[in-house]
Order: sequence, then structure tokens, then C-alpha cells
Amino acid sequence: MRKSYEEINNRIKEGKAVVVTAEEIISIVKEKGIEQTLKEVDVVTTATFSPMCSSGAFLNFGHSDPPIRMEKITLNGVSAYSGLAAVDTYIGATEPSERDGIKYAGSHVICDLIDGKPVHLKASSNGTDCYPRKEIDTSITLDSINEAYLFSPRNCYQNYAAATNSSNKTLYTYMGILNPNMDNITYCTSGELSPLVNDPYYRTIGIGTRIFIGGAQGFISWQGTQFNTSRERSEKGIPLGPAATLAVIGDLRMMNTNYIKPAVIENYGASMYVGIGIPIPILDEEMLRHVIIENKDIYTSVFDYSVQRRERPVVCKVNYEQLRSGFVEINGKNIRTNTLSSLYKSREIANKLKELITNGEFMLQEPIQKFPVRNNGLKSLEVCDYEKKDKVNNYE
Amino acid sequence: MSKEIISINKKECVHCGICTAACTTGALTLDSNTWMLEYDASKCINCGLCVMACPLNVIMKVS
Repeated sequence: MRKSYEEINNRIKEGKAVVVTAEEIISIVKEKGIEQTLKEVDVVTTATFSPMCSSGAFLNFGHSDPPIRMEKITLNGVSAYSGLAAVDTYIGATEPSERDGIKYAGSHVICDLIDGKPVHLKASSNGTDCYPRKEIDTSITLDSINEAYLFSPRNCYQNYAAATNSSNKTLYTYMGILNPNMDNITYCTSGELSPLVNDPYYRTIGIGTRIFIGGAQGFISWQGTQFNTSRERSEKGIPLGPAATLAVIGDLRMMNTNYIKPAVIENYGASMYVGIGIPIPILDEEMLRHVIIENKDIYTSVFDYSVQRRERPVVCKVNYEQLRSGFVEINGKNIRTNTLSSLYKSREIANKLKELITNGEFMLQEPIQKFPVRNNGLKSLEVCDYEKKDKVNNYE
Repeated sequence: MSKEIISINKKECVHCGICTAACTTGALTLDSNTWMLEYDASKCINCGLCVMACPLNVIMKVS
């Protein structure tokens, strides 16, 4: 049995679509079997709510009178990128503020804008004949500016590594607090609810897919940075470590800080919790078999972060059922596990998306271009002597 | 019943669990069914590590 996007969207419009979450579908198939479930279920919703550092927003302020070509920009004391046209900027989630450092960063500015709060804009310029103003000091809100959209170059990892620390001192990392002597393991995906785990070969998640992002309806705009589908996969097709990623876009004006929040990772840096939900249409039996993936079938590696190198040693391989149990046994010792990603919020988002689709408020969009199922992997940055190696482009 | 040493702004808490890594006594845990943050005051030793670890600044010391 096969269903097309058009057929599923028609059922959504008619209020007849059967939508369940990626957790619910597992027990439904166990109870009713593949064939019956395939007839009954149209869409499975997936979600994640995790710190996603590679996030940020494009803003256009509009022109002042006289106008200014902004060359240095701060928003509430957070530096924003000014290497674009006169009044365009990009503010990155992790950019710390001049006054408060990581305690108030780009992610806080983005969320203050979403909340409708006034934001202090300061900019300077050398002035030009067409943009004579040299300084501006004013207040903006989301309503007072032109475009304001989240554009994140890398969100929503397909699987992710877990972390531990074999050294005798506490480590503060993007994987959270790693206590000494392998006291804990941290991990960061929503497991069987995670979007790309439920569509491991990117049949329905691709460029142009409509998604729920931060409370808004947005889109996948491209493959995310560090997109790596050269990873070894399990029998069920799940990459055994960080693999595909998504570049995503969504209108800040439609967002809600219930689903997107600034985060400060202690002694590491700022980040942003981004809530993303992706619907997966059950087009055929193959798609249904993908979305019944369970935590016990999703494996990742635990890396030792005490080794401060690009390649860290693998301590062991674990599945998400083990990680979710609260303990993983290594060498006869029970090591407690801690998540960084909120399963509570991921479930909330999966259910919200389910509600939107069921009510006919969220239509499915077929990808306009698919992602590569297998690419050439990632390149590394090698440190070389520029003076000796590259004199070809002698622009200095 | 033990006196609460910390207070958690439950409206703003996202139940991410980062604080549970900082908590070495098991006073802060995630419920294995609901995955909501739980606080057991009887296990809390007032170390304050969770306050520093919370990425959303929603855990406060009561006194």
C-alpha cells in the first residue's frame, strides 16, 4: 500500500488524517501489525529540544534618516555581524555580550526579540556620501524592524556521541558537566523521537520540508554544516554517530519562547535550546518500518573527553535504552547517565505538531531536493605554515 | 519532610537534566516516565552546584 503527499494532505484538509508520535507508533504497530497500521496511520511526528549552538538570526533594521551603513553593530551589548549590506545583520546564538559575557548572549537577544522586548541597537560607521550618518543609538523591537528570521546552519543532528571523563578533574564542555573518574555519561538526542533517526535515508526530510521550529512553521533550507553521511550504519540503517544535520529557517515573529530558549552551559559558553518537530508521512511500508525504530536499536559511542584531541578514544558503544535507564555498566561499574536534551519538551513538541496536523493547520511539504544518502565525510582543518605553503593568492 | 534548600521555577524549567549531572547526591533526578525534573530535599546538601549548572537560570537557593 502506498500513499502520496497529495492524498495525505487531502486527508489533513478534510480533518481525517491519523497522526501519531514516533513513540506512539511503536506500540500501535506491536498491537495491530504493519499492514493494518499502514492503512490507518498517515503521519508520524518526531521532535527534539536540545542546545543547538549553530543557530542565529538575520535581521533588517530599516533605514534611519539620515541613513547609516552599519559597520559595527551591538544589540543589548552583543556584537552582531556587519559585513552585509547597510542595515542587515546576523546575530549568532553563542556570541557573548560585552558586559555579561556568556550570561547574556546572542541567544538571549533573539529570545528577547521574540518576546517583544525592546532591544538596544548601537552602530557606528565611517560614513559615506550615500550613508552619511556615523553613529546610531536607538531601540528596536520585533515589530519595528523589517525581516527577522532564524537561520541556523546546523541544527537537529542525526544521532550524537555521548561523553564521559576519565581524568581526575571536572570538565565543563558543550556536553555539559563531566565529573571526574567517569562518574557520569552525558548524551544529547531524543532517541526514538528524534527526527532524522526516524527517516534514516532522508526520503521525506530534505530541502523544502516544512517543519515546526521554535513554535513557528519553517523549512529545511539546505543540508546542515558538518553533514556527514559517510558514517557506518546499523542493520536498521541508523548511523552509529553524528551524521546528517539540517540548516533550517523560520520567522521569529511566529515563534514562541516556550519552544526556543537561551542557554548558558556552565564554564563553556552560550547556546540556544531550539525545539524542532518534523512530520514524517507514512508513504509506504518502508517508511512505517523506519519510524518504529526503538531506543534499543539506536547505538552511539561514548567518548572520553579528557583526551583533548580531535579524535577521542571510544570508551564503549551503548544504545539509547541503556542511556535512558539512568546507568550504563562499564567494567563492572554502574555509571550514571545524564541527558542534555529535554525529552519532556520533545514530547510536548511532537504532540503539538500532531495537534496542528490533526486540526488541518500544518500541511506536509515534499522535499524539492533530497540529501545525499552517502557523502564523502568531513574534512579536517590541518594546521600548516601559511607563509610557506600558500603564496598563490598573495593579497597581503 | 525535609526543608527545601533550592527552588525551581517550574514554569521556565525545560527539564533538560543538565542540573542532574551537577548534582552528585541524587537530589535532582529526571522521572523515568514523565522525564520531568524531580527534587528530593532530603538528599540536598546545599552545595549550589545545580544553581550554577542550570542553563536557564531557573534554580535558586531559597535562603
